Amino acid sequence: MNPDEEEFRRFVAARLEMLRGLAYLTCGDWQIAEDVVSTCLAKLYVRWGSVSSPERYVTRMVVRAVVDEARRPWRREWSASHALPEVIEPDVSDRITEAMRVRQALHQLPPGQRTVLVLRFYADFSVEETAEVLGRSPGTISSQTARGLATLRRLLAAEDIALVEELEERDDDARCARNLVDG
Amino acid sequence: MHDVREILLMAKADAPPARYGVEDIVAAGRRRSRRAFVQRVGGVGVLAAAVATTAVLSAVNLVVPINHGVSTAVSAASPPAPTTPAPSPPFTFTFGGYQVGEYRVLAPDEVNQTYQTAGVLRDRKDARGKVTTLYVGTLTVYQPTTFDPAKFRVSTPMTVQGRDAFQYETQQPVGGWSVGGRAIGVPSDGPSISFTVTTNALAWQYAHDSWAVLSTETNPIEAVFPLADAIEVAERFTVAPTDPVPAKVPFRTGYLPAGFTLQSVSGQSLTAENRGMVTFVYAQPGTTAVSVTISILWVDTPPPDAVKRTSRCNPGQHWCATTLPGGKFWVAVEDPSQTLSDEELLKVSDDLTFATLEDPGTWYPVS
Repeated sequence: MNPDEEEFRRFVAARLEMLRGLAYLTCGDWQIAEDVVSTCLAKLYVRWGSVSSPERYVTRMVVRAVVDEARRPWRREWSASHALPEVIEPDVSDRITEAMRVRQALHQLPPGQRTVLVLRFYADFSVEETAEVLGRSPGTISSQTARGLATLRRLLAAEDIALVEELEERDDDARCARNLVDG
Repeated sequence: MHDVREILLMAKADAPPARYGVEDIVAAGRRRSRRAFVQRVGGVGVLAAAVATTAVLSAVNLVVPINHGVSTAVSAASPPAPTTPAPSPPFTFTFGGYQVGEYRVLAPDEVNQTYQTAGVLRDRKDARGKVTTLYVGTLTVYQPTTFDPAKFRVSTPMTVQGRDAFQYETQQPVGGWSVGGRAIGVPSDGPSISFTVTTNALAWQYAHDSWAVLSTETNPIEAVFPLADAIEVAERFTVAPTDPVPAKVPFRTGYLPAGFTLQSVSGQSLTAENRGMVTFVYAQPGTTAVSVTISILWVDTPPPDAVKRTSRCNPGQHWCATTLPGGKFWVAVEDPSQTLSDEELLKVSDDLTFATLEDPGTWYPVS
């Protein structure tokens, strides 16, 4: 048994769900998210052993791929050609209706702000790590985070969902967000 | 009240069952590793199609022929003049793969009216004996009299195979990304940083007024092709004494726009170690301003139930895609100039009949 492949297999098993969620939250399409994640992981397989930080590496690939998706007619076609019906639970509970309202609010966010929020609060990346992944400055990331939080809070409020302020964990961002709202 | 993470988890709470499991991804990685051992065109994958197409079209127009005639007659009083070989028939390969030390020159698999190209690999063995194969360069062999060495004459002169040769070095800005602050090349997923790399090219004459060029890759990690080694590889190059081998195409065309003929072949196998796709360009002779480019690509994650051939075009984007039965391959038909209509491109696509794509022995020789 190839020890490198076994290590890769364990890595995929441990990270697959997180990466699926990351891709979906960024692009809002499960099919594209799954295609992107599987393709990026297959690419990682080829480079396995030569990448110093596989998690960071593949996260960057996934985020860029889904962000770029709109500019990639080839990927769109490739994904669409393998359309499989999504399996979605019937909307029978308050929990699900709330989830739908959350999704609606989330996907009204500008893509840049949504991507930053997903990286920071779902993937738990720092400002610096997010900046590296997206190729932007830390200052831009802080600003995008603050604006994204402010926008999301407003969008969720319209759906009667309250968002707590991230005072303890994201003090700077929250302060910026308050300033934006107040200002 | 929810925090942001709770909100995000809620948004993905009704995830559908995963379509791809760990073993699917490992299998896809194996396929990718087998067929696309380096990312020659910025990453094997869907984006590569457009990049490769652009490269092919650019290359067709790259070289300005300086003399399409045969060599001139020599008077009896003149000293013996070197003989320029006759050009090989269109779309034929005139040399084979060969090995020099750690370097492997692959059999050529790209050809047009002006030149053939072959990849150059290096099998490097580390101290523990583990061999790593890298794509380090490209060998381009021009038809006699078609290469203009003017650009190279300003560079370092030398002698290779007993004739004038030149080494040309240039700095190229490229996009890439870094891991731990170290630039690792040009990914398929979009550049994030820019840096400059040194590209070397060695031009020499394999026969009188018949030029070949060995150029290194622009990927900084893979650019391990020192000039001294390139000279060794160049010195060993020979045109095969046997008959030229016609290029093959994995399909027959039914419909093409009026006057369109084959202009460029890129790839002779979908299972070669340096190939993830093949591309064929059709246009009116002498110009690729408007072309039909047909590419065949592997599907990374084949669906289990692809049983029929389906085609569709993206309205107004001048390209159509066809998924073939079995789900292993898809075909892209495009007009990069965005001149031809979707209907015309779809007709080209629908009228293609395919050989067994995984078996180059069934492909059709260019007639």
